[in-house]
Amino acid sequence: MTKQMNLRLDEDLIEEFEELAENENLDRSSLIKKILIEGLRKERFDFAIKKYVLKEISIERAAELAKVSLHEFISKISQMGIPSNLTLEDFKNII
Amino acid sequence: MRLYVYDACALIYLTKIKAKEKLPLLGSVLVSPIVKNELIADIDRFSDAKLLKKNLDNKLIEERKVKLNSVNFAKNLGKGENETIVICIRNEGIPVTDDSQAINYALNCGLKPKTSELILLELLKQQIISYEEFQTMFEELVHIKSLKHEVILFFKNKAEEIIKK
Repeated sequence: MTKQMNLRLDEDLIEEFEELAENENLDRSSLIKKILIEGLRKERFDFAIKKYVLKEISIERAAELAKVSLHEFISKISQMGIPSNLTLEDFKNII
Repeated sequence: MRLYVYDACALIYLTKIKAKEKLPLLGSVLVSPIVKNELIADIDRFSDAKLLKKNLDNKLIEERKVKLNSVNFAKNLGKGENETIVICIRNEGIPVTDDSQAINYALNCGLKPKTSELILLELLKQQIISYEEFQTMFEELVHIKSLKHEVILFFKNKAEEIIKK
C-alpha cells in the first residue's frame, strides 16, 4: 500500500532531480523514491553505529535498529575498522 | 557438564576464527531460538551462516527454548542477548557474548560471562588447542574485532602465563 506525501523543495533541488532522472531514464518520482529508500537505509545504519560506538546499545540491538542481519552488521563494522566496544576493564571484570 | 549459552555475535566470531568445532569439548553449546534465527539469517549471502546451519542441523549447536517477559528485558540489548541471559539465569549457564553492554547486564544478574577471547584461553588451558592454534585464532580475532592494543597485550600475556604453568 502506498500513501501520498507532499514536501516542499527548493527549485534548484527539483532541477537537479529532473536532470538526474533524465540521465538515468527514470521518472522523477521513481528517482526520488529510490534515493529516499537508500538514504533511509544509510541514515538508519549510521544512527545504529553511532549508538553502538557511544556504548548506548549492544551490537545485536544496533543490528536490530539498522534493520540488517547481525552477519551484515558485523561484516560492515569490521570493514569500517570500528573496534569492539569491549574495554580492558570489561575483560578484567570477568577474567 | 558445563552449559555455555552463546549469543549470535560470539558464535559468529568463533566461526570466523575456526574455533567453533572445538566448543563442544568445553561443554554444551546452547543457543536461544532468536539467536538461532540470527545465526542463519542472510544464509545466501554469508558463508558463516551456512556453516552454522549445518552445526544446528547436526546438533553440535543445540537450541534451548525460552520465554521472555518484560521484567528481565534490557532495552539496550538485542532480543537474542536478552534470551541468552535469561537461559543462563534459569539453568546456571555461562553466557558467552562479545558485547560490553551484554557483559555488564550479565554481571548485574549475578552471572559469570565469557567472551570469545576468554573461550580461546579456556581452550588453551584445557589443552584442547595448542599455543600455535591459539595464536592463529587470536590474531584473526584481533583483525576482525579491531581489538585495542592494550587488550591484545593483556590476552597475549594471559596465554603465556597458561603455557608456562
